[in-house]
Amino acid sequence: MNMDRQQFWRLLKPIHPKAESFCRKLTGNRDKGDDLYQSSILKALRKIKSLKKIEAFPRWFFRIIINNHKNQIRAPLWRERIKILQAMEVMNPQNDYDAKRWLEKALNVLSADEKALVVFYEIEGWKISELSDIFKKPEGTIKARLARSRRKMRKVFEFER
Amino acid sequence: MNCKDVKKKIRRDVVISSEIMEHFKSCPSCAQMAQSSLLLQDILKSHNETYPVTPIEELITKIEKLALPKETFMSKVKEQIDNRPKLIYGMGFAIFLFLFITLVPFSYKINAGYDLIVGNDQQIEISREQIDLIIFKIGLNDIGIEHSGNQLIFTGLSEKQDAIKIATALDIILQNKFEYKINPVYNTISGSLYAQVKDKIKVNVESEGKTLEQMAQEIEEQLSKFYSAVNAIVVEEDGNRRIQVRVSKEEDGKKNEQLFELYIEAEPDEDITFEISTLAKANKLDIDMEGKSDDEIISEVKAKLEEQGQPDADVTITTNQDGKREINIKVDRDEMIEK
Repeated sequence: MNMDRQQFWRLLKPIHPKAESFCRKLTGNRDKGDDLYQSSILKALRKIKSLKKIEAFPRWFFRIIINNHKNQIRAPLWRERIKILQAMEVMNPQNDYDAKRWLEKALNVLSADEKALVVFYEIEGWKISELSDIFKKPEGTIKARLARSRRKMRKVFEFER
Repeated sequence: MNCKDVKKKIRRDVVISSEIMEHFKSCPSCAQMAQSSLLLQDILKSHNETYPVTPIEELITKIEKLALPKETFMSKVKEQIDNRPKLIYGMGFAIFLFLFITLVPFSYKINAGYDLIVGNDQQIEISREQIDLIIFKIGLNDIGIEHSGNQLIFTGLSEKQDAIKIATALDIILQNKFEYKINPVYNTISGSLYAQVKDKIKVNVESEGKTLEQMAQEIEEQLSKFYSAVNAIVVEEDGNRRIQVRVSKEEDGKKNEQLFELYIEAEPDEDITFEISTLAKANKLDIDMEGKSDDEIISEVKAKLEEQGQPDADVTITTNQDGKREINIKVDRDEMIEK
């Protein structure tokens, strides 16, 4: 659809805080999160013609963020998974810094979609119905994927013990 | 409580009841699972670090400053290809098809007319005058006729209907005694564009710093690659440069049948450039001018040139001081004079 830049910014404004926070939590780092957010906005501006309806803007934009993040981390994520399996640092999860490192390790065993799902639900507090809309999957599927993701993350802690 | 029930409860919500605690005492595996689930839950809950939201106006300024590159033609092409990956396959196929049509010299046949063959094992009793009368009455021109004993062949018929008309007329005269056969005649045409272009011979001779004899020699050298006997003369008269090219067939070292003769006019200071179509120029024009008016000769010449693929030839006749008539034929940039 034909949309000028002003219209794009008007649509982004209401979801901007949520989207920015999501990018930061997804990357686990403020600067990386801001980079991800800005590069996603640039991609969205280039692909604006692919947006069919204005109402679909939030779903369309979050999908761009998830895919952008997926592309950015693809190869390093695989290497990270191997590192997790081969060696685990001994960390004290009671310590804030260590807790963050633990979470990073745990999230890194997930695929990009699973990671996005966990961040949306567990960290950002999105509802199952909202996630169902973003990922275009039934709510039952979203719940099953969340359960699978938690199982994978739990294994990270079980491994250490 | 068994392990299955305990794990089911822990998965849903990590709340440890006394019953579950009792189970843990005898089951280290479930205890471990509960511990890691609690740990994960605590870590996820603790991960609520928030940063201040960037003001939207600041974000807009930052994005605009990143200066999205201006859309160039190539970026638009790239975007189209990215959006439609099948487009590149289509374009690749189109390029392949174009190259195939241009370069592959496949040939095809086109119908160039009909021949009519009349005869069987009997002698055909018919005079030339009768045959000419039939042809005249039907309104045909330039038909080839061969009459030998028990066969009569008509060639150069452009339409099948013409052959049928001749056959019908002969049938009446010869009283249904003979068999008639109409054969289509095909010409093989080279289909590829490249081959069609190649069918022309281009002659290009630079004139700077060369004598007339040197230019003539160069024309002969260039045409000798295609014809066995070539003779070229370059002369300058009345401020014009005239080039005469005579091409003959050579057999056993002797020049015999003349294939064609070309006269070209050029500016004295310009390079000599002309083209010869290898198909068309292989034919001669055989014109019998005796007893015919200028108009009749012009019509005949035009008809023969049209057969040779030169429909737009400009034909004029001039009479010399000694009474000899010259047929002047202008075809594209070439000029042929036949005396």
